Amino acid sequence: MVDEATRKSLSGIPLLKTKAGPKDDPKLWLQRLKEEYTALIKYVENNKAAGNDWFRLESNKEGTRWFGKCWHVQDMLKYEFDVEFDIPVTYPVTAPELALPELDGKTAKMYRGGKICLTDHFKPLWAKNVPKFGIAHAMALGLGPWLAVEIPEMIEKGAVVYKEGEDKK
Amino acid sequence: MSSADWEEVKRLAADFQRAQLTSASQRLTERNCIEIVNRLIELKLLDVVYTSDGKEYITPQQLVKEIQDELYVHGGRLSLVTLASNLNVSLSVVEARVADLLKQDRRIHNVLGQLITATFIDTMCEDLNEKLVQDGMVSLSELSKTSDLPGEFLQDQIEKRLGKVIHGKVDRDDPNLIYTETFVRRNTARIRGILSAITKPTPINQILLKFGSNVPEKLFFGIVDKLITTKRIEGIVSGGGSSRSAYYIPSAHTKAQVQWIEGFMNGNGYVDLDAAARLGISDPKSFITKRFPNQHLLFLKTCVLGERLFKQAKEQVEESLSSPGWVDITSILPASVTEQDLQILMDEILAGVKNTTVFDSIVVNKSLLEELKKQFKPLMPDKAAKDISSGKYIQLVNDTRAAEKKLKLAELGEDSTRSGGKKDDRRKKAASGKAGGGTQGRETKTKATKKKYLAGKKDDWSDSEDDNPPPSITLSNSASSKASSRAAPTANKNKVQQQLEFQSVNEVRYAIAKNESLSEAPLELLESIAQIISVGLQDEYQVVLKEAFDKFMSEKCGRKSQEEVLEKLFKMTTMFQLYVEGLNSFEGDVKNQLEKFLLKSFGQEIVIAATTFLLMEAGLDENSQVGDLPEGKVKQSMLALGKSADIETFTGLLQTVVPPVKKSAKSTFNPRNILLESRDSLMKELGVAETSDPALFLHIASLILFSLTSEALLQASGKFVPQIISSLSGKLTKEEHAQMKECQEQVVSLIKLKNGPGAEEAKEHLTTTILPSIKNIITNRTK
Repeated sequence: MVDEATRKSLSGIPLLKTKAGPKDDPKLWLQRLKEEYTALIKYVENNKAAGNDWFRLESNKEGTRWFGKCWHVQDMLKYEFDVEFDIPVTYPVTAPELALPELDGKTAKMYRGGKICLTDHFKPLWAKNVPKFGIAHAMALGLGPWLAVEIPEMIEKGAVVYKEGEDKK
Repeated sequence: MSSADWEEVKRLAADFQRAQLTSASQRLTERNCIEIVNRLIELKLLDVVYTSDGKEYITPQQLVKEIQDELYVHGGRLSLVTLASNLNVSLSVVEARVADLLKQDRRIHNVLGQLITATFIDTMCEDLNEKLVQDGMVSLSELSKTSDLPGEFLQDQIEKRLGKVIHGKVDRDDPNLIYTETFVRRNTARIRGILSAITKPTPINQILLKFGSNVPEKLFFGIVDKLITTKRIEGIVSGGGSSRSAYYIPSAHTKAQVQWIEGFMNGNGYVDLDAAARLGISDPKSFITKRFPNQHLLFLKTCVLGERLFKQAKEQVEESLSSPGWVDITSILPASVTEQDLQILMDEILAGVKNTTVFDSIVVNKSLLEELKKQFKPLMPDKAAKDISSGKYIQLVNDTRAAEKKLKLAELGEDSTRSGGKKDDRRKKAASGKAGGGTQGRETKTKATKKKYLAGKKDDWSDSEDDNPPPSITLSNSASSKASSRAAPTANKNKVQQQLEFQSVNEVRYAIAKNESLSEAPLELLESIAQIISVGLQDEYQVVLKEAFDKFMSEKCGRKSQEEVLEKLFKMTTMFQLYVEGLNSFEGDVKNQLEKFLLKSFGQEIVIAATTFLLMEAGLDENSQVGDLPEGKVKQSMLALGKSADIETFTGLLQTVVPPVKKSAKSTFNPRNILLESRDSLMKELGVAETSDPALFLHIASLILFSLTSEALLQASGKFVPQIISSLSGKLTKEEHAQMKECQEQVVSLIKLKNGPGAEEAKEHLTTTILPSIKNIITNRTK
């Protein structure tokens, strides 16, 4: 189930129209890519406006591989992790698999290679919303809730330790 | 693939980076903010107020500004509650701010929790003015109702704007009313018109109705007052200031009333109060009094008499009373005067006039009544004589006595169940009888019968009416019965008629109708007079009747009045003297015997007569005795008189008992006359005895001859006859004496026969032969 805050942030993200992956007609992909960016920009702006900025993302030139950082603030401390993922060939029918490589092996809710286990709801929801959902939605529906649930748990277990100076980055 | 597209992607990617890199605004959480602000407020570094949902702060300056804005938006009128909810702040905060605002801005008013700006009032006043121009009048109370604002505030505000925004003026009496000059003038004109047209008193209410509810009462009265004081209309408003009871009375009407009253009074001499009331004069008496202050007015129930008419009436009454002796007041007065008024008026008129009797409206001089009565007096003795001789009166007296006896018996036998009223009546009767009756019961009877007579008379009256009803009498029955009832307040029909009637009322009426002065009198008057007179006449007649009866009875039954007794006594004493003289013709034993006989016979008669006289004189009744006489010389003499043995003592005592004869009466008791009188009576007796009793004849004849020869009288019994005859021997001729002697012998022999055989013949002989011869002697002697 998607919580209230997620739903709200989701509703702020513009929906996409073009159904095209990197292997499809480059014209269409380009179009898709533009829409992805616009949605992301809007999402980030929304987050910033709500004082809720929690990630940085950038992509390669073709827009097929994405990487960046995401963070979680707890007890006035900021825990920051690298995030990366590729656009699958069947995109947008298949959702991208978001991965936090440095947390690989530290939690059960993760696949090999640091790919996070998304909730049961995510996939049907995504499937239902093809091609309207894009990267921004995946971040908001997938990674956001996962971080909010898993990180405090891991901090409690001591699997994740606050690294001095990360703030300055 | 166009590079432009890629360029665009690049640019978007750059935008994205830039968007991510722009520093996120360092937002504080709400909680933090609230804490910070609270802290600041605590430190008095910040002056803000919460909104009512607690999510916002607002500075007072902003609030004031917002209040002003709100006020403006709402057209200058806004309630504090609405303001508070609109501004999202609590009411108390708003109130505090408003208080500040009011201090700063004098053009804003707080009225009953509403903020009102001068602009709003101005607008309202402009509307008001428009309405005023349209309707002419505006009521603030109405305005207060529609605008939902307190009247005082409105009044205050409107007064400020009078003459500027509002072109009208406030009513002086009612500050709630505002009207324009035009309105007032228009209504003044209308009222003036109406009031000028009114000619009779009209309730203000009705006038106001004509205006509908357009003209307020106060304004109306104000205008009317003004019109009256400026003499624009003539009239007055009476009956208080409220329209319910007030009347407008135009002076034209008052003038008309006055004119009518004066005209009527001058023309007719009186004013009918009813007519005056019809003219709408509520208190005619005081009205008329005011109108004629110099006149002496006479107020009756239905009218007012002027001085002139009153005097005229009085003069006429006085005049008529002197010349025909009666007057009908109704003939002098206006027709509308009622009976009650007549009574008042007559009291007034007759105040100075005496000797009058009043019948309804007719005044009769008493002297006339007396005169009429006199007319009947001469008739009374005749009628009395007739009534007595016919035995009616005796019958009546006996009846009355019997009835009274019955009544007494009944009374004695009556138990107390009898109704009190009757008993009372009887008691009264008894009492009055005792009081007025004196010693004799008869008086009581006459008193009692008087009433009964009236009763009977009334019966008579109605009877005659039944028998032969004269039409006019039937018409005037009420009048006559009134008169009769005035004369006799009680009339008991059940009583037996116990008085003899002198003349019936009808008869009296016919009799008096012939009188000259009553020739023009109406029938009613005649009847009334007849009623009145006949009562008096009846009383008088009873007296006359009684006198006549007494006289009759005394003649018949020896009942004597005192004077008669005295007269008889004088006569007897004179006769006694004659007898005594007669005694002197005898001597010796015969004289003594004759003396004793005289005292026993005639002497005792005198004693009885003297006793009766003395008792009468002493006021005692017939049944009392000499012993009841008051002590004194007379009583002693009287007692001695009866016992005196010889003539001298008897005559001596008699002189003390019998009063001396009056000089004037002396001739009546002349011895000579008495002698002749008693001789006459003897002669009569002689005539009677001639045929029946020869002895008595001889006795009387001898007595007559004695008186003829000796000029004296003799009282002697039959046994003295021989002595008398012998004493006559010297005085008669021899023949005469012989005849007497013979007669004496014959009589003696006749007595001796004692109705035996031959007695009849002897008597026959005596009466046919001897007695006539003796009679001859006497007649010769008498001549």
